[in-house]
Amino acid sequence: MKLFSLVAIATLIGVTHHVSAQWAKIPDAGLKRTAAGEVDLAGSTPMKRGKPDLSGIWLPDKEPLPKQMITVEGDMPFPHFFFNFMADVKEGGGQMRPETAAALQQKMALGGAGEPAAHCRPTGMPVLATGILPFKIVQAENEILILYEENTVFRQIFLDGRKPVEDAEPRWLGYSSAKWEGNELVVETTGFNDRGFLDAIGHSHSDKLRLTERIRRKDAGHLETQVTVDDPAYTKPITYTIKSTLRPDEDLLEYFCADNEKDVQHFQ
Amino acid sequence: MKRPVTIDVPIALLLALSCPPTFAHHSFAAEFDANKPLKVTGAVTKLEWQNPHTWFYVDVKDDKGELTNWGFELASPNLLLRNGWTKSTLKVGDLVTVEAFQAKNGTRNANARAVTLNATGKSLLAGSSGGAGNGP
Repeated sequence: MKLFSLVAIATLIGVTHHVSAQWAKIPDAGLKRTAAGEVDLAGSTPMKRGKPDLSGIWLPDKEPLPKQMITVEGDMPFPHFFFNFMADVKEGGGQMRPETAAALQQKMALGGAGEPAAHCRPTGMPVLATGILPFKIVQAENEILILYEENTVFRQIFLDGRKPVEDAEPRWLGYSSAKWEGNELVVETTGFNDRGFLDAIGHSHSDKLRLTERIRRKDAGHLETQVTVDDPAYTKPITYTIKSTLRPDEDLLEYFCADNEKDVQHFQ
Repeated sequence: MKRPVTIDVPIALLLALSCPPTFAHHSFAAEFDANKPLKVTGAVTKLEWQNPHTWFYVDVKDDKGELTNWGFELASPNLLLRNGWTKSTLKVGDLVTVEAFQAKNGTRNANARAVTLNATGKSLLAGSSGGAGNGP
């Protein structure tokens, strides 16, 4: 396998880019603003029925790509855990079972051709929560909906006291129930199929995956989700925190993958 | 208690040797070759402003002086829109210069990295904004 052409990548640097107004942004009447009309992202956490209101459009925080990487989208930054959910796990810790490690190496050797999203299938969790397109949280009393722009998919998180379903019909995004612990929403998700990826490079999981998300709205503009991946494919649970920032006055857009999918026919 | 058997994979090494996939649909490595750069000039013949990727097509004169039509992939319209593009940024008939990486399979398709509108000299990134900003 060849290393990328750093020269080619370097040609991208210095290309100027003009950013102009994208579309008519409608101010969200539910957000507190300064006299200048700006949303104070460091303001107090909005509350609803005595609990933090997680509602809003959110985008996972990004960081520059490592120099050796190249993506279809050019040199745009990506969220930290998007490529590798174990990015902050010290190597040598023995977290992957041999068959899990072998499966990862096989997928990486394919250069991503087997990635579910490349075939317009859902990528799965928790990589969906670390993507480059925004998601919207809608908070009702007994249910929270998360609408993901990527592939126009949704999650229903039941907040009515029901327990996680241990033997649910296998699903790409699982079956989620939640409860409040203080100001944290604790979401338990089970009932996954074994076809989703945990991250973009292809760490796999089994249908025994148990995902715990502890979601906290730190202030008006910042969301922290502590994710714990507990799966027999790994020798111990792996925990990390995804940080996202509010995108005031933004809309979700449509994203129907089958609309113009024509890459698979070019794969080699 | 017997210690579970595990293998530690040096992920950093694997990342250095492999083009990782991207979330907005598919990986670079599955389709394109970073060692096959291409720079062409020609007129836009068609624009597909659709997910999961915007594509545009350009008539390019080959070595024999004959016109061949190349397809160029951009990021999704959702990402382009948030970076200042609109469905009218490229129009049929526009003369453009495109820097791209060719498809591995030898077809006349490529991943566009930069597009310049020849009439104005304006450069447009094919994907999203460079730099470490948080906004798309």
